[in-house]
This record gives sequence, structure tokens and C-alpha cells, in this order.
Amino acid sequence: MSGLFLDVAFWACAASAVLHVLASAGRRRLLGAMGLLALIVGAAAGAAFLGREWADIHRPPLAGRAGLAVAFSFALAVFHLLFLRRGPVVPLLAAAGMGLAVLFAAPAEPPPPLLGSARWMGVHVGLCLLGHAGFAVAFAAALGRLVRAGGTHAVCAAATGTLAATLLVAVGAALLATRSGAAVLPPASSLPGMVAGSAFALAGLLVWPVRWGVSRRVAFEGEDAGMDRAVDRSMLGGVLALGLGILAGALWAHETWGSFWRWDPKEIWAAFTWLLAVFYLHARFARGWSGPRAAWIAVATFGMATFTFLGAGSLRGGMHRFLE
Amino acid sequence: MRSVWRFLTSPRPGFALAGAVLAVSAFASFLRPEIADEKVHRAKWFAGLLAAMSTAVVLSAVKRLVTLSVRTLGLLVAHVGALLLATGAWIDFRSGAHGSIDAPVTPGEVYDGYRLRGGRTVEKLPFQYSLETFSVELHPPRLWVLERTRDEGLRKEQYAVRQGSRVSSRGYVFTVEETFGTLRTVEEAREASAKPPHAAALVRLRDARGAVVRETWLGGAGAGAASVLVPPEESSSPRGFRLSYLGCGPEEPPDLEAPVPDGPRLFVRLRDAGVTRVLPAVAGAAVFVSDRYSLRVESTTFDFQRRAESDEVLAPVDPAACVVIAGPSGDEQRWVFANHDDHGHGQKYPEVGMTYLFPEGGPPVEARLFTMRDGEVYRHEVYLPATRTRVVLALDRPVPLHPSGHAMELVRFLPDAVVSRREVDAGSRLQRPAARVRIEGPERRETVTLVVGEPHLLKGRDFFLVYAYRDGFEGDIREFESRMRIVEGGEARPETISVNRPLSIGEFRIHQDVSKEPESGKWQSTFRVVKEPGARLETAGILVLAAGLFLSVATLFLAGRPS
Repeated sequence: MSGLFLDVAFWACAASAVLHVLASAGRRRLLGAMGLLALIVGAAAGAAFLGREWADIHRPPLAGRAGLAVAFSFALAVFHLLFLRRGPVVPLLAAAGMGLAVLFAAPAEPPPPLLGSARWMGVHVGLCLLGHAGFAVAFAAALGRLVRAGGTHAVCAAATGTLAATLLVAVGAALLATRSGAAVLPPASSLPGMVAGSAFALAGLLVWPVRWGVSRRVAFEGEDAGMDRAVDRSMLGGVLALGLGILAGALWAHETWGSFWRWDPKEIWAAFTWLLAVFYLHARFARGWSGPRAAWIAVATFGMATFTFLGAGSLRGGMHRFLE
Repeated sequence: MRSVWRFLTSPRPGFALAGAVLAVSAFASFLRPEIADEKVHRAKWFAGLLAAMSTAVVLSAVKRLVTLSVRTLGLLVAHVGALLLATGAWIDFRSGAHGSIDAPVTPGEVYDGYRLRGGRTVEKLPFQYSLETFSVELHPPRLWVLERTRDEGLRKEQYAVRQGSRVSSRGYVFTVEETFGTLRTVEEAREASAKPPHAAALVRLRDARGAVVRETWLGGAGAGAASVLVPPEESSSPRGFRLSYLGCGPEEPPDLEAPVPDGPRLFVRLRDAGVTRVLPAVAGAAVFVSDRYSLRVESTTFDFQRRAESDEVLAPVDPAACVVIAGPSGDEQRWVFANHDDHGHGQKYPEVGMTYLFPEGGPPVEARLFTMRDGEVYRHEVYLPATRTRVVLALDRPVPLHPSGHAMELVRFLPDAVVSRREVDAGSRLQRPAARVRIEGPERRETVTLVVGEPHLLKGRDFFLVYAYRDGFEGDIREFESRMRIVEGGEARPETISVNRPLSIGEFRIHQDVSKEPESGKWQSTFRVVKEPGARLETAGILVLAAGLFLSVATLFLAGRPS
């Protein structure tokens, strides 16, 4: 049954991405509303998958790649529905996450005993994922804001979006190539899903140049202030969630390892990410920065969050390596 | 002066110093852990940087305390939290201690100190401790059956399995014939281990005309310790128990449960229960040693002999009993317990090794390899249950096995190899745990080797088999636990330390840690010792900081737009 939830989540998010692309290009409100509805269905199916897995393994399903990918996609959808509600980037990311989960829908190996506290794992990993999702949504909104600004900002934003989409495809391909852990090759019946998922991810390469071109013709993203507000609120949510996640991790580490802070690479880079996000808030709310200058900080924050999530664990040992 | 004060109380120094701390730390994250610890995180200049950052936070908080408003309330609370955190950390820095008991703790020995982190200083503890037992609880290996269906999506079923397990799923029966802690070739195993515990023989089965029917490895085992560890997951006790043969000598153990008749006796010690039971070693007697395990004495003898390959009797003649230990899943292990006067203690022998059937191309023959090592001499036999006879194998000399004329010969013998059955599917990744599973379904019957992490697709059906989790000391450990004896103020008391459940004694806290013995690869108990007088302040600081963060974000969120 949980596999059915996962399939529904993937197809709903993919449909949402398509509808958002069409709505953005043609400025059709009905298509946009349908895209949001599809995303709600996808998020609900993702939540049902997580709930079912949790009930099956009696701990939050956040120690395996499938569970992490679904939880991240779910968090993305929630932030998108709360603060952004436009543009295909977030539904595309959510669909990619759900697609990866479909490919890795194998039983997750249990975490090592030092990480065996189900209570803290759910709180710490869940909050950190939520924070990263907030920064991802802020990133999408900030790119939209930069595209609207035009000129050099728009060119750089389009390049950044293309780079992000390329990295997304590369990470997905690398994960597929290694198939480490208890990964399962997709059965024949899900091949269309695989093909569709890859096609959507590759379509991300084209999204930003197209949007840049379109933005010259129609104001499809709404007012600048609306975009700024979406970035602000997503960053606020991200700062709150990641901050609480780091603090929860400190309490967990103290309980398990006997110290609140161990200068672990992931701890350091997560703190760096959080501080950069706080700097964004300070610049916006205390210093009154606006426009592209602030938007670039949001873009940089997401870049750092991505490095923290995917790369920091491989720097040197550390206690966050059990998933790599 | 005012401008200097304004600068110092603004968030800018705090931001800059925090950025500096994190930038240095980010650089250090590219260094090796021990170098990063020594040169950066435990260096005095880094402590100074942290102190400067804390001072900047304090000054910034003071400024906010003066200009308190609803809008800055969250920030103020967050700064108070940061202050508490910094104060707790300062107290820990001044009078706390972090150390470890990093040498493998020897059970039974009494200790009263620990080694400070990053140095060789040994600090004394206000109490004494000794390790009684250290146990490692493993996740049981599992067999997952995943099926992708059109109406239900991915269906997953998991079964806890071990050798001999038999599970049914959707018309198929899966029997786990063998499990391997590490799947590898015999040659690899020879190279990998200096003292491998098992022996193996490559044998060739011929039919009446002399044609080779089959060639396969038979696995045996050398003489081991006189005990059988019952796996925790199958035991009535949470940590399992150990059946130990104590001996058949005239000396009576002190804690007999009941009088036993004269004659051979078998002593069984239930380790966790702390009792010793004496079983009459009479053929046919079955005794339950727990609610799930039973012993059956199959045969007894007073003249058990070991012989060399030349048929020379190695003497002396000893009393012995062949015992079958039956487990909850119906699996049985057969051992010979013998008492050697010259050793002064009992000895256990694996009477039979692995059992193999040869049904293809000939009559069903069950063969059991029996090896016994004494010095450098080995004896290789095949036991034939049908005729209750043993045949001594010889190199390149077929010996008859069956009235039909089938014969077997020894091709090669490896006295020091770890045996893995070498029928691994092409492309399987070696050096990983694996299970050999017989699949019997409506359409086919086959035996496959499932390697951890390598899904097996049943041809023609849309479902997979996945063998997950390791079964051995190599990994997938669920829990470490140390049973301790603490002596404090002249009084001794038992305590238990496990991962995520540290032991607090006064101002000290002891956390369970482990290290791996390089040679044997076995886990050993070590501890981390922490003295943190400022820990409560730090915890309070974290909670206040969290509240302040929440308030700050809520305030900004409600404000909606930047000022």
C-alpha cells in the first residue's frame, strides 16, 4: 500500500510541475490552481507514505534515502503552498524527490545504535529538512525575483537555475549508478515513471531561459513585492526550522555523546547556513535591503544548504556519515 | 566614545566574530579530525575567538535590554539564551572535564580513573568501577519480499530469518539454507584470516560407471570452544544465554538442582540465569533447558577415540556423549561432548559439519563432512545416515557410498579455510553478508545466493527478494550494553550503561562507547567520561534560545514587511 502512496505522490507532483509550467507560460489562473491542487494531492500521498512507513518500522522513516527524499519533497510542497504558490521550480524539485524515492523504495537499513533514538531523530532530522525546504522555496522565489529584475541579474539567475537543474540531474544519476544500500532496481511497470521523471528533470534545464524570455513579454510572476514577501517568509520559516533543528541536535548529542557540540563538519556548515540566513533577515528587516541584493543572499543560502545536506558529510569523518 | 559603544553593542561585531569562527571551522572541516582538533578547536586562540564572540553577544544583549520593545522581545530572549549557553560553556571550560576510558575494559578488573581528552593525564574518579559483562545486540537478518502490483503499488513483507528458516509468501516457499557473515571464496578467506576456524574439502561424486556426477565443497569445522552461544533473537532472555559443557568428571558442581542417577552426566550452565543443571547423559533423554531449547542425548560411549588419518589411535579412550540441541525454529545442532582426563576439562567436538544432498543424477545421498584436528593431522569422513556408516575419504581414491555403485573421492582439502559454499551467482558482490535461499514456487524451483543490498528479481514475476541486515559482528548493531559494578563510599551496586542511556554518578556521567579489536574484529567496551557542571545552564540556554528564536521569527512574520 505504501508503494501506491509513493506512486501517487510522484505522479501528482509531476503533474503539478507540468501545470505550473503551462500556467506560467500562458498566465492561466485555472491551470495554476489545478497545479496547486495536484501538489496538495502529492503532499498528502507523501505524508501517507511516511505515516505508513513509520507504522511499519516503528521509527521515523528518515534514516533511508527513500524516506528522506519523500520528507524533503513533502516539506517543499508545504512551503510552496504556504508562501510561494507559483512557478514550476518547487513542484519540479518535489517531483524529482518523489521520483528518487520511487527508485529507492527498498527497506532502509536501521541507523547505527548511536543514532537509535527515534524521538530525537524525528525531531532533529525533520526540522532540519524543513529548514532546507524553506531555503529551497526561498531560492526559487529569489530566482524569479532576479529574472524579473532583468539585465545581468536575470542572466546570472538563469545560469544559476540551469546549474542547479544540472546538479539535480547529476546527483540523481550518481545515486542511481551507485545503488548502494538496499536499493532496488525499478521493475518494468515503473519504467514509464522513470522516463517521465528524467524528462521532467531535464526539462528543468530549459525552464529558466524560457522564463527569462517570457518575463520580457508578460508579467507572469506577480508583483515584485509579492516575490520579496515569498522569499522573506520562506527564509523566516527556514531560519526557524533549521535553528530549532540544530538546537534539537545539540540536545540529542548531549544525551548520546555527552557534549552539545562536536565541531562536526555538518554541524559547522549547518551553522554557517543558518548564520547566512539570519544575515539575510537582518539585511532585510533591520537594514532595509531589497531587490536583487537581498535575493542573491537567499540564493547563496540555498547553495550553502545544499552543500551542507549533500557534501559536508564527506569532508572528514564526523557523526553524520551514516547515510553516505 | 559613544560611536565605539554603539559599534560594540550593535550586532555587527557578533556577526563578524561568528562569521570568523565559522569560517575557521569550515576551513578546519577539510583537515584531518585529529589535526583540526589540536590546531583549531582545542587551541587557545580559538577559545579566545569564542570568548570574543560571546562578549559581543553579551554587549548586544545589554543594548537590547535597554531598548526593550515588543519588536525586540524575541531577540532579547534569544540573547539571554545565548548568554546562558555561553556561561554554561565557560563553567565547563573552567571546571569541567571530558575524558575517556579508551583502553578495552577488562571484565572483572577494578578501575578508578579515566584519561583526559587530548592528553595522557589520568584523572582519579571518586568511585571505582568494574565491568562485569559487555553484550552486543544485533539486528536479526531479514528477508524482504517486495512485489509491485498494479492495484496496490509496492507491497513489502519482511521476515526475520536465520539458517533453516522457512517462510511462505504468495505461493512461494523460501528456505534459508545457509547464511554467511561475509561471502567470499575459500581462497580469499584463506588469505584474509591468519587463524581461520573452519576446514573444507572439495569432493567429487561419481556414478557406477565412474563418470563425475557432481563436484562440490563440503564444509566442516575444527574443534572449538566447549560452548554454544544461543542467539539473542531466539532466546527467552533478552541477551541470550550460553550453554556450556562443564565436564563428565567425578567432581560434582556445587549447585545441583536435583540428584541424578549414576552414570555419564552432562552439565549445562545457563549463563544468564546463573544456574547449572545436570542432565543424565542417557541415550534418548530429552531435557528442556529453557522454554524454547531442548537437549537430547543421542548416544553415549565410554570409549570415544580420536584417530589419525593413518588410523592410528591417538588415545586415550574417553567418555563422551553425542548431544542434539534443538532450537525454536526446529533447527538442530549435534555435538560430541567428551571428557579428557589429560586436559582436565571437557571438550566439545563438532560431530558433524554441514549436510549436503546429492539428488542430481543419482540416488539421494546425504553426506556429512566430519573433520577433526589434532595437531597437524586431519581425518576426513563422510557420514551416511541411511546406512549409519562413515566412510573415510582419501585423495583421488573413490570410496563407495551407495549400493548402486556411486562413489566419492577427496579432491582437495583445505585445513585452514573459512568455508563458503561456492555456488555464488555470477556478478555477485563478494565480501558482504549473504544468504543462500531455496525458492520453491508453482512454476519453478531454484536456489539463489542473496547478497546484502543486491536484490534478486524472480524471473517472470514482478517481485524481488532482498536479504537485508548483517548477521555477525561486522555491523548492524542494535545496542551495546555494559553491566557494571560501581563501588562508591564503600558500597557496591550493579549498574547498566548502554548507548543513549548514560550512567550519572554525582557530577560525572559515563557514556557507553566501543572500539573494535583489530585482530579479531570483536567489539570491546570503552567509555566516555564527562564532568559538566555547566550542563544544566547550557540546556536551559538552548531552550531559552529556541524560545527566543521562535518569538523573533513570529514577530517578524507578523510584522509582514521590513521596516
